[in-house]
Amino acid sequence: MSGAVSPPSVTLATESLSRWYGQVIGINDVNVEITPGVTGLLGLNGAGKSTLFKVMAGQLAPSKGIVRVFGYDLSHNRGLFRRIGFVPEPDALYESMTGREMLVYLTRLQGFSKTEAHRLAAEALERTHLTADADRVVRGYSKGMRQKIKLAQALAHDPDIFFLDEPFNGMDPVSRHEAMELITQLGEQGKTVLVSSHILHEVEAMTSRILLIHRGQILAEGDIGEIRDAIERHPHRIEIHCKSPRPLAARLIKMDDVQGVHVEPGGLVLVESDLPRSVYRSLPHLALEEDLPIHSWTTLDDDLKSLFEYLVEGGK
Amino acid sequence: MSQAILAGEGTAGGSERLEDPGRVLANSTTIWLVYRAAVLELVRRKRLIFLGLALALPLFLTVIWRLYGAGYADATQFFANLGTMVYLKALVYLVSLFYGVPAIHDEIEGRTITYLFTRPLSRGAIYAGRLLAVQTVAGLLLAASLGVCFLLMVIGNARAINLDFIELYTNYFFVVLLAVFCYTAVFSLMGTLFKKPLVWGILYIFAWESSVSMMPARMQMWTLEWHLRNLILHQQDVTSSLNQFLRHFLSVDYSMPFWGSLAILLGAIVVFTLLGGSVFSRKEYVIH
Repeated sequence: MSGAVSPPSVTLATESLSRWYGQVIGINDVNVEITPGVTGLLGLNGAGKSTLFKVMAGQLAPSKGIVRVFGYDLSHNRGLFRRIGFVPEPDALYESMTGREMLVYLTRLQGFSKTEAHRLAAEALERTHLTADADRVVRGYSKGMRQKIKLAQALAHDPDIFFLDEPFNGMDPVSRHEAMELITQLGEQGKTVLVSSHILHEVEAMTSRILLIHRGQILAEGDIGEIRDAIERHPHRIEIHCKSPRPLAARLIKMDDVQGVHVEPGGLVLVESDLPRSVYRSLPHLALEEDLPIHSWTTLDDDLKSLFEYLVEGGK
Repeated sequence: MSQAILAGEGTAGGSERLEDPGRVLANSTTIWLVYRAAVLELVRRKRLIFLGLALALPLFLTVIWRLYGAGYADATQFFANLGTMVYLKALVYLVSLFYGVPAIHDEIEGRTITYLFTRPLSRGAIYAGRLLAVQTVAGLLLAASLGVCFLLMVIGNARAINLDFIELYTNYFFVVLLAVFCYTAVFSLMGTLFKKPLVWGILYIFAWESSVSMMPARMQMWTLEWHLRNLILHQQDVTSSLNQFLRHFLSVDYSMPFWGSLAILLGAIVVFTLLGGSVFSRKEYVIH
């Protein structure tokens, strides 16, 4: 057994953690220290979030480096899994079992007696709002319910550390809100929750503490407010479909937060702004009060994608 | 915090439960829990229906024999042929392949193995639990088919029941079960090793077991099938099949005592199970 080396407040830490798949780098030299509460792991698709989760949750062995859980090397202490709850990203469940059977089975595998496992499963089902469907076969679950049962199996044995890999995928807005509340509660209870997402506002709703991963490396870590500021300073492109593009363009260019406007064929206006929220706020006013009908608008820059481009390119 | 068998009392962020972070769930408990869940899962699968139909084939043949064939072959002769040609040559392979290959491979392909790998369990115990489950279900299916077959042969046909027939039936029953345990261990190992274990399993059956066991000279003794045949007491009853003709024609009659073959087959079960458990414990499965 490896000795404890991390300070007590750090529940989860990695030291020079790397994982390669042959010649392909999954994650590279990741050094993080995570304390109780919710931490968001943000990254674009393919950034290495799932690999980092798999290595941190002991599902994959690191090519180099160590994962420490409560100071102990996870790879030599499988008993630590009693304190870990893992929600994998793949949509994988025991299809022929009922939700309750699956939870009881997986909870018993954490070392609980039958009676205890039943009680804990019932609690987890309650917390994930699945009690009514608990005795249905998982094969018949909707995508949202499948996500919930994955969350429930991670919760049931009351672990101290949670790895939640894209837990909101496929959830309807109500379920998403409920799941976010649950995760926030876990953080408030002193659990260490690492939740991955490629959607910034999802993470923002649960925590201000984030890790940004890009091409297998931790690009930035810290408070989401600072990241938001960085996004705000980064010029955004907004595409507006309207009836009268030239008058609208003329009106938009006068705005302080607009850096450039281009009129394209087909009633299309492309706006560059370093404060897109200000432009979004003005559009209804322009449409209604200045009689400049607008069909639709959309941002060409996904928040996170543009943020990563900004951070990687140094704001050029 | 709930009471746990292994995990002691503790609260979030506390260190009360860290006296022995290396301690995993007892292997016997893991094997039992995995076994039970796997049996439940296996009996609910659609492949059970398909295999049920396949296992009805000897029953159908038995009915045909009762109706039209009793004059051509007595119960002992008929069952010896049925046991070798239908059970050992076809159904044992089919059932073992259908249950052995997915024993572990289904968890990997279905990606549910993630849940087991992120729990304090020994991988060897997971493997043992899954393998025992497929062996139980496969064995029960074949035993049920053999049992119904027996009933179809003897009900209303009291003259079929004699010492020779009972001895032969018991002998085949035992050999068929031993065969299914052996082959599920082999195919389960393939399921842990290969990405397309079904293909390897089919190759193994046709390119190795079925072919090599018919080859002249000592090489046939390297197949499990040869040893299974060696356990059959009434081989002289199986006179009409081409396989037997070829076997007598081609092979030098190497002999091995009954107990020698039995020891080899039991050894094969142990070796393949240990190999499978060892591969499963060491191999890394990248679940996408």
